[in-house]
Amino acid sequence: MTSYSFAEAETHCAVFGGGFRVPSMKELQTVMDETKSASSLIDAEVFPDFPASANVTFWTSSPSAGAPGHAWFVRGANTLAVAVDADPSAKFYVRCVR
Amino acid sequence: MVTAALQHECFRYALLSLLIVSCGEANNGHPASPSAANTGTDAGAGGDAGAGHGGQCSGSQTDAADASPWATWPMPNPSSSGLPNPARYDTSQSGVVIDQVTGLMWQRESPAEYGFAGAATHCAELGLAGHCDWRLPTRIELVSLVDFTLSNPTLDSAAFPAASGEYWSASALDKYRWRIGSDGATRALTETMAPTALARCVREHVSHSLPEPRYQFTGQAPDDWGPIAVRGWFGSDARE
Repeated sequence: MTSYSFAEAETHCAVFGGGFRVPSMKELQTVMDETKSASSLIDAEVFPDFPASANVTFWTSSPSAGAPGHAWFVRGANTLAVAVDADPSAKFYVRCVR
Repeated sequence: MVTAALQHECFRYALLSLLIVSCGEANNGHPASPSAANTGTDAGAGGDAGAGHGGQCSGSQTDAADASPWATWPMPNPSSSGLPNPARYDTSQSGVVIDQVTGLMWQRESPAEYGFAGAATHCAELGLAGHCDWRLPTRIELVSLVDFTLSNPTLDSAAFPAASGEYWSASALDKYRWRIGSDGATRALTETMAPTALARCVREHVSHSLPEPRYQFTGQAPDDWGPIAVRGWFGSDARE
């Protein structure tokens, strides 16, 4: 799976057409299986290219209202949703939704 | 040529479901009990809260572990976000909030902190709005309340009185238990790391009985990719 800056992620989703976009932090959490460890948070049969890493981070479209300059990310290990400094040029994964 | 390539890429990445549907099958160590919801635990329509012991119910029903770990409803987005499934709450009944997107009924106030066992007991014994089938929410149920356009507390302030802190979920990962902070974050902590938290009890008010499979595949991927394109049951073009 390729990683993207935030702008690249938005473009990556938009070029599919049909309304595909970067998901909100709530939408992305619906495909995370909280009973699994970080490397298998998403059903591998449905989403087979999930990276085998303990530190998997996905872009969401949700800025953090409580911490300006931060954005919500969904990621493995012991946090599923976390607001962290969003360097827009940093490279993370993205799953597009519509 | 470019279009064709994009189509392939589209299928390749058209993967994120807006919703995962519970199949009512044994799932990750939480065997689903089809009869768990709304069976014999209500105090009766329009009845007084609980079974007549100061709002207390027997506490013997509605094991939170029977709740599906998946969202069995469309995931609400904040109403101001412009995204699909905008949140709508019904606060017309005293003490409770009905989420009109998820169909869940929530305890409106959550004034006290408990250890995990105490929190589970608190919900099991809760008699509120004439119902006794209250339980601790799952992780994804708590996530459904988050309004990420707000700063702490990230809850609709008209529906839920302000309360800052961490909320217990019934969902676990190994020795950790998932909790949702009033800041909107989802974290796994052990009881040793953080012994007490708030409890906001929930019950299924309007049932969503959705068919299998959890994912709907809507196209074929490139040959080297397998059948993989997915569309959510509740994508913006596929609501109920």
